[in-house]
Amino acid sequence: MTIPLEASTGSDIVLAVDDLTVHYGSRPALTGVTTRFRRGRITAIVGPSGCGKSTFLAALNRLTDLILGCRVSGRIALDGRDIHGADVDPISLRRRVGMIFQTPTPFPLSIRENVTLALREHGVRDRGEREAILRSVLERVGLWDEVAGRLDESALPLSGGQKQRLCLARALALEPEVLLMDEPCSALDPMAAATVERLIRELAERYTILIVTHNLPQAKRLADDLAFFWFEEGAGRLIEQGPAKQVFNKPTHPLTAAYVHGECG
Amino acid sequence: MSLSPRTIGAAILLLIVAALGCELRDDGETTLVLTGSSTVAPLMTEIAKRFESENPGWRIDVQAGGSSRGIADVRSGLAQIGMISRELAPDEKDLRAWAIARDGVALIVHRSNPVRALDRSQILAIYSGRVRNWREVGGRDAEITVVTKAEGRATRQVFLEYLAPLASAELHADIIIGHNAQAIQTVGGNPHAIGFVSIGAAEVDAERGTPIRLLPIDGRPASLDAVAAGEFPLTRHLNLVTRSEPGPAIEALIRFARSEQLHDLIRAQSFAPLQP
Amino acid sequence: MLERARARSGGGRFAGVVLGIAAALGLAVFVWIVGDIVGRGIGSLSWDFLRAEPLDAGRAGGIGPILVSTALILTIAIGVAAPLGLATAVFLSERLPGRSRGQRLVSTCLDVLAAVPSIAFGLFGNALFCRALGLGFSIVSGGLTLACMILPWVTRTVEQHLRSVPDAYRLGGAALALSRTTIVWRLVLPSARRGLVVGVVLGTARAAAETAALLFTSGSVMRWPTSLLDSGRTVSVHIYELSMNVPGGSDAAYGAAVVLLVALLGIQALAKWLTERWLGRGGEA
Repeated sequence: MTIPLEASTGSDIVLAVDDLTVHYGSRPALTGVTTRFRRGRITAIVGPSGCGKSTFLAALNRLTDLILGCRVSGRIALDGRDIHGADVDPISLRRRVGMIFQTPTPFPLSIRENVTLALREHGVRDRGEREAILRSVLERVGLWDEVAGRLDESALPLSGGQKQRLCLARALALEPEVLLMDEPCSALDPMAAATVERLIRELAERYTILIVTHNLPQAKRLADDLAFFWFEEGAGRLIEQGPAKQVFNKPTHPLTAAYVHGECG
Repeated sequence: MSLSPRTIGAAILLLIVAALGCELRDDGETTLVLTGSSTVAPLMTEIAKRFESENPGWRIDVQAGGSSRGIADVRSGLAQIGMISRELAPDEKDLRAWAIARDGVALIVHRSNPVRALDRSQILAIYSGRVRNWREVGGRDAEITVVTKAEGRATRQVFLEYLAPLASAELHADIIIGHNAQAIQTVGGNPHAIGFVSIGAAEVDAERGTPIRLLPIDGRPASLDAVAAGEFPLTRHLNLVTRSEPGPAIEALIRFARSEQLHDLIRAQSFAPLQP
Repeated sequence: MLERARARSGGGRFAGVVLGIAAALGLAVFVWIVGDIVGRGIGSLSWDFLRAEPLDAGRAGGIGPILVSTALILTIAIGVAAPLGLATAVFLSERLPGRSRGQRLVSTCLDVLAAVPSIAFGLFGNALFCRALGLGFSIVSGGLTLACMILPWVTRTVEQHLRSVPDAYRLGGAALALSRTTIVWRLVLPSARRGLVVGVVLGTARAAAETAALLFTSGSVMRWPTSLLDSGRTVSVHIYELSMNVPGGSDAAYGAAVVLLVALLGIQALAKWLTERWLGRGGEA
């Protein structure tokens, strides 16, 4: 494995994962993952279906807590603090590590409430402040002009691309440090996918982004770093990780080479 | 509008407060609870209503639920007075019965049935299952459908006494029913059926057009008048039941229920008064 | 395309005919019953029938006090069963993980309870509310007994609707760092509103049709109720008593049955209107 641990300085590391193993019941989904993610970079996580990529993302903000029979071992540190520590509340962890899902699922509420529900919950009591945040995040995802006139209407009739951008906006409203994205474009039509992809690139300036994708060209276009997972000996494993260019052009592991050249997976 | 825990909590609280408010209601009333026979209950409801109107400050609740319920409730104290549509059984002698009216049990057949009368031996033959065809008792050639009341029904008791020494287990049945209304419906809908029911109920339904006929028994016409005159063989008492030493309030109501001024009311409820 | 594919298969056509006949039969039975009741009962109906006190053991007069008692008993039953059922359903679907032992235990208990004959609830209510708690034959006793009876129905209906709420709402809510309470109250429950309405309507209908559970709890007194501790008979008990124990009471019984029928249809219509209005805004089916 070529994990460039030594290449990064301490403060540069946002997420440090050591020997992470996730079981569903008795079946391991992911085993022995050790890696680092650096601040302000986009890491694309690629690999065939069933190799534990989504499980890996879910472990990072402890959504795995909600899955029945799911056990997580190993250590995950956010800014140097163990996220499984007794003093860490999963709610506050999830404020800092936001997540975007493959199928955009706005809540069955108005467009406005989709964004402000979490703000209210997290203590933004002032209405004016909430409105300001609402406008700024909707502008950032390019949705403001499209929905400004119908903020109080249901979010459900929005188009797929609009829904995904709304989900992105409501995640951004919490000012997270890390954004986890689980195939955010794969359920969208090509035009909408292109819009969301452009958006992700813009967001990279301010956030550390981990994006799971099956779309290698997209990974090539977006990613600073690339992490390649593979299903091996009954569980998902991290095979290779490094700067995107390097992994694409000079993969060190034969599996990686075969995958990026489209020969398997 | 969304359901909040507060809304629901408030609703529950309101309910409790309302219930408590009732608890605090001021009642200077004398309240009596009667439970028991659903045959007697409508009659007692009307008697109680008249009693209440003549005696302000009284409140009498009449609950139907069956004779055995009445016995149990008087014993447990849930009711002060029980209502039974039969006599007290030997193991119920800890209680005291007060007759208030009489009822007769009549045999009924479909109106189209040519049989106009049956004597005791013929009835016994039919109800012991020995005779299965109307031809054998002077009717058409048709199989008899024997309708019998369920075990525990007071009318069944009265009927069995008439057929003694026929044991309850020997009583034949093609159809077993519970209430008078069911028996009347069944016989009215089956030209070959025979059944036994309360005379009052049968008379009312026959007058209202249900195709049934009441058969005379031992030459006595089955009518409330015959029951009232004491001439009809199959009769039973409708009784009120109390503990052996009822208090003055209970006795006041019982005295009223047994008084002559209620004869019109008893007849209106399709029963016969104790004295003609 | 699909239509043609369906029409072409012979088996499909046969099944269609069978289903059509079954549906027609079901409709015919419904029309027959309703027609019979309305035909026989309409003659007794009048404005006074709804307002007046019953006379002559119910043969004459009206059903005014009975309607009031019915409304009170149903209100208590729903008022207790709805929040309790909702809470139980939330607990079952949101707190107890699916297929866990506790979940199975509670579910089994509810299913068994739903299958208990109503007379058993009557005896239970008589023992607990009338005797042990000293509430006697009363509207409260009857209402609480009915609440116990319909609780499993309400709970199971709501729970099924809660379970059909997409997990994406729960996960999405959790990913936005929402607390479990907020997820349940703001995301899951509003999506299951229809379930609550359906559960309440089913429960009301069942409660309104009940007699056996009430004979021994709320009793059969026909007076105007002046408090919740008064005994009072419901329309169904009235119909039962009139047709079974009051010779010549069947006309009034049919009249009361028409009123009950209309009231139940009214509740259905109200619930439908309520769901549509309520779900119209930002709601999901």
